[in-house]
Parts: sequence; C-alpha cells; structure tokens
Amino acid sequence: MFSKYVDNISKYIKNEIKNKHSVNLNKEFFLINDIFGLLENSDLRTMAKKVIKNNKKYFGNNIFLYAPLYISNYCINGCKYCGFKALNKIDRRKLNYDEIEKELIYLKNTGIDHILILTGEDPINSDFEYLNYTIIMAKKYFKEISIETYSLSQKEYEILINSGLIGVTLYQETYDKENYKKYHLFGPKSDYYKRLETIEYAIKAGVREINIGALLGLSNPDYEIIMLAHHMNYLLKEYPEVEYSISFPRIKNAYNVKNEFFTIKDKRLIHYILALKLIFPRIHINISTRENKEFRNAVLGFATKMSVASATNVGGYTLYKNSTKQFETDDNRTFEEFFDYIKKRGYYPTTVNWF
Amino acid sequence: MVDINFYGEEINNLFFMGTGKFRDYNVMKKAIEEAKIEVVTVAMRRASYSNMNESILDYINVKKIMVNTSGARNAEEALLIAKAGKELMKTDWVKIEIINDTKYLMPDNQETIKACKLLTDNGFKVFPYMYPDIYDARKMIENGAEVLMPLGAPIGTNKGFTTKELVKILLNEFDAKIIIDAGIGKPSHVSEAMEIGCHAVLANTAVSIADDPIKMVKAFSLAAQAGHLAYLSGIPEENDFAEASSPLFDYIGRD
Repeated sequence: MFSKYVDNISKYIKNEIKNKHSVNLNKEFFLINDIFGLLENSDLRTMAKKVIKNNKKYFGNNIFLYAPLYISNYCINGCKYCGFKALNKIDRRKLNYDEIEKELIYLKNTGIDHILILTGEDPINSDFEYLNYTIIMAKKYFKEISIETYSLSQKEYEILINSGLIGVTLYQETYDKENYKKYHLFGPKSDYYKRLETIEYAIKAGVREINIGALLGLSNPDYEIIMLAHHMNYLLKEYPEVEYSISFPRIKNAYNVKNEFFTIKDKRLIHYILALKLIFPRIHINISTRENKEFRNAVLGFATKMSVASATNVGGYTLYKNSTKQFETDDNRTFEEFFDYIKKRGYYPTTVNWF
Repeated sequence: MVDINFYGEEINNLFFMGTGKFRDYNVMKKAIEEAKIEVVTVAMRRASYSNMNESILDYINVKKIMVNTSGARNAEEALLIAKAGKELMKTDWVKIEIINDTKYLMPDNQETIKACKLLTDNGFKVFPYMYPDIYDARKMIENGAEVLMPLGAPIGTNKGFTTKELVKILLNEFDAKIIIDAGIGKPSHVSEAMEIGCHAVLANTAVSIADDPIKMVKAFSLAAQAGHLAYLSGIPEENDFAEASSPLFDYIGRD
C-alpha cells in the first residue's frame, strides 16, 4: 500500500524541492527522479515535441471521450472547497431510477459510450445499493462505466465490477497531510490514509481503469505534482496491468466557497502535463470541461481523455437544469461541435475503449 | 509471387495491417484498397458500433479479418473477446494479445499459452502475439498454434527487428509460420524480417500515423514482397574476406 511510504516520500520531497536540479532532455527515457529537473527546465517546446511523438506512437490519433452523470448531491462530508459540502444550504437532490434512466437515454443519444457516474457521500441518499443498481441500469446503454464517488471496500468494488463497472476515479485532492486535515473538516472523507488506500482496493477488486489526481490549488502545486508522480510510479510498479489516467483539476469557484487557494497559470499546468507525460508516456492525461475552450484546444493530443458537454449538477441534462452545480464548467461546446473540432485537428474522437 | 498458406488460406500480400490509430476510417479504407491488403487485425473493443462512430467493419473489405483480443488480461477474457468477435466479424482467426503490463505492453506468454489451448479447443485459429522464447513457443505449438507472432520490438516503438537473433532460433526450430508483429517502423525492417524467412509482417502504428498512410502501406507491402522474393531466391551469405581469388588459396592448394 502506498500509504506505507507516503509520509517518507512527502518529507523527502519537501526538502528536495528547495534544491536546484537539471535534466538532459535528449534522453529517451525519464525516470521518477527526473521530475524535479523537468519541472525546473524551461524548454517546453522540446518537451512538447517529445510528448506528442510518444502519444502518436502509443495512442495514434485517438482521443477518448466520456461524459459525467451526477445522480445525487447529498453529502455528509465537510470539504471546504466543494459546492456540495454538507453545510451548504443548497437544493439537495437524488434522482430516482426513472429519472436516472431519462438522463442515461439522453446521454446515450448524444453518442457517448463511456459515462462517469458521480455521487456525494451519504449512507441514506446514495447508499451502495443505489449506486450498484445505477451501474446495472447504465450497463444496458453504455459500454464503459466509471464511478467517481466515496471510498468503498474491496468486496463492494467486486460487486460493482460484476454489475459492469470498468473504471474508478478517485482524487486524493491534496497529498499534503496537514492541508488535507484543514480542508476536510469532518465526515468519512476526512481520513487521509483511507482515501489513499481506496484506490488499491479498487485495483485488487479488478477494475480496468484508474484515474488519480490532485485538486490543484489546495497546496503548493509543485509539491502536489511531484507527489502525484510518486503515487503513479508506485501504482505502475505494483499493478502494471491497469490502464491509468491522471487528472489535474484546477480549483474553481463554487457556491459558498471562499477563494483561499494557490493559482496555477495555464502555462504552468501545461508544464506539469508535459513533465508527467515524459516520465509516464503510456498513461492518459484527462482534461475535463472545467477548463475553457482555448485551453482544451491547446492540450488536445497531449491529453488523450476528455469529457465533453458536461452537466455538473444532479439531473442537469434533462430534468433540473438550474440545480446547484458542483463547479462551473467552462467549455460548453455540444457533443457535435467538439467531435467536429477533434476531427478538424486530424484526431479521431473515439467513444469506445471497451465493449 | 508465391502465396503462403496460413491455416489453409492462401495469402499473397504478406504485409498484414492493424486497423487502429488511423485519423479516420476513409484513410484506412483507401490504404487497404490501394495496397491490396488481404489480412487485417481488428481490436474487438474498437469494432463495436456506436451512434457517433460508425462501425469500422463497413470500411474493411479483405480476404481475412483477424480478431485482436487486445484488452484481455487472461485466457478466459481472450476467449470471451474471441467469441464476441466471431459473432460480429464472422471470422475464426484470432490474434491472441494478452497484456498485463501497461507500461511496456509486453505480452504475457504464460497466459497466452493457456489461451492457445482454450481458443483452439473452442474452434479458433490462433495467432499468439508473444515474446520470442523457445520454451514458450514450443508450448504454444503443443497447444494448437500453427502460427507464432513474436514481437520485433515493444509495441509502438518503431525500433525495428530488434529480436532478430531470437526469432532465427524459432525459424530454425519449428515448422510453425512466423509473423513478426509489433515494433516495425520502416519498410526496411519488413524486408529484413522477410529476408531471413519470416512468413509475414504485421504493423499498425508506423503506417497509421505516417503523414501519408496510403503511400506508407504500399511501401510496406512492397517491402514484404521484396524481402520474401529475396529469401526464396537464396541470398548468398555475407563473407568477411574475399574468397578463392586470394593468393593464399594457391598455397593451401599446394601439397
């Protein structure tokens, strides 16, 4: 378990980050220890050329698309940065199965084949059975189903896989243990180690795809990226059979959230993407519609997984278009518009990664 | 050109093409037509129809389709994919690709050995993608494989025929047909494999991401032909020094 090493790695990084590093960009392979040098090297052009060449080799012209589906925003966690946090007085909703079906059919008709089901954490309003049955329903329409939800046990993941689950998205949010405490005031999610270990329960249960990430802005972003790299490095060594993605969600404004966060400029975020792609050429970079159109256009081809035409509120596609969003989206192109744009750029928008 | 027989099918174009990674299906279709490609592999997980992407099968008109089990992590999953593929693509040819290493994409020979048996028992003609190891090759053949598909280099690397010396052993040792699969980046790599007696070469990345995939597929097909023809005509061995005409031989010839 990565939780066994995380404290030592964190300590090492906090010390090491103060030193100067360099890296030779002409190398063919980059290893985990190159992360410092890569983040301090300003030759983004050379890095980008290398990354795009690798991506062509490994992913060809494919861009994998998916869309999120929020089914319940009830939540008992107190995550200071989230629009759905327990203390927020918002319009709480939980879709019933008929409503879920309606949203599923809408998404299916847009042409998407991979959905990401999201729910808040609430033992009554989004219990395990509810999640499991949603997956069983979704399997009727979609080839690929992922979830982004609360921590489950290995046994529970096994049940979901039987029902059709393919992938799990779970962000540590911040790898900095002190800050983690500061931002996660109460609720089951406030257990830092449990959160970290959940990923490995999902893998041991047999999921095919894992997406990890940090919510950039909660802690020093450089530290966060280096920790993320170490986490990925560990997972790849320990469980090489899984298909991995990394996300870099930048914190966004949300309802009743005070902005006290680090800012990450576009160019720096691109730098992060390039550095990680050089060390891990075979993993996907996943970019959501949090980012605006211009930025998404810029990273297309560097990022190989992208969400599209997303509603980040419960029932947001067909039922309750004005309910509270988890965060504001910034790229509001329709499926067709984004499809056409990808093709125009010489890439192939693919909705199928499994069957 | 002389045809080569794989599982009872006479195949003339000995360059086999993978169908992934193309910009769009029309480019792929044109490449298949213009280079007269006869065998393609189709990954089952890409073949299924979705309402945004039309089915790849509408763009493929070839002699034989080989279902690719990519995505399978063990023999049972490979069988499941082969069955689904057979239904969709009407073919019993299966490229067994079992990978448990997403970093280097190295084939899992042990699971592949099991899959050879499982799929052969279920009536499939198997083409195992494998690391060229003599013991594993023997087991695959014992388990029903009449063809082996050793890698030339790790998938997608375009590094060429880096496993040549190991593949030579397989060619010497077994009667199974040998198709070099993966890592092939240039037409000269294709020729190199065919010149030593390999029976076909399969590639995808190098052609699909070329600036002009159609020209590139033609080049690869011609290279396969050239290499095969050279092999059939008996390539003279390379010598390290000039023979027979050297005065030294006069001395050797004397009593």
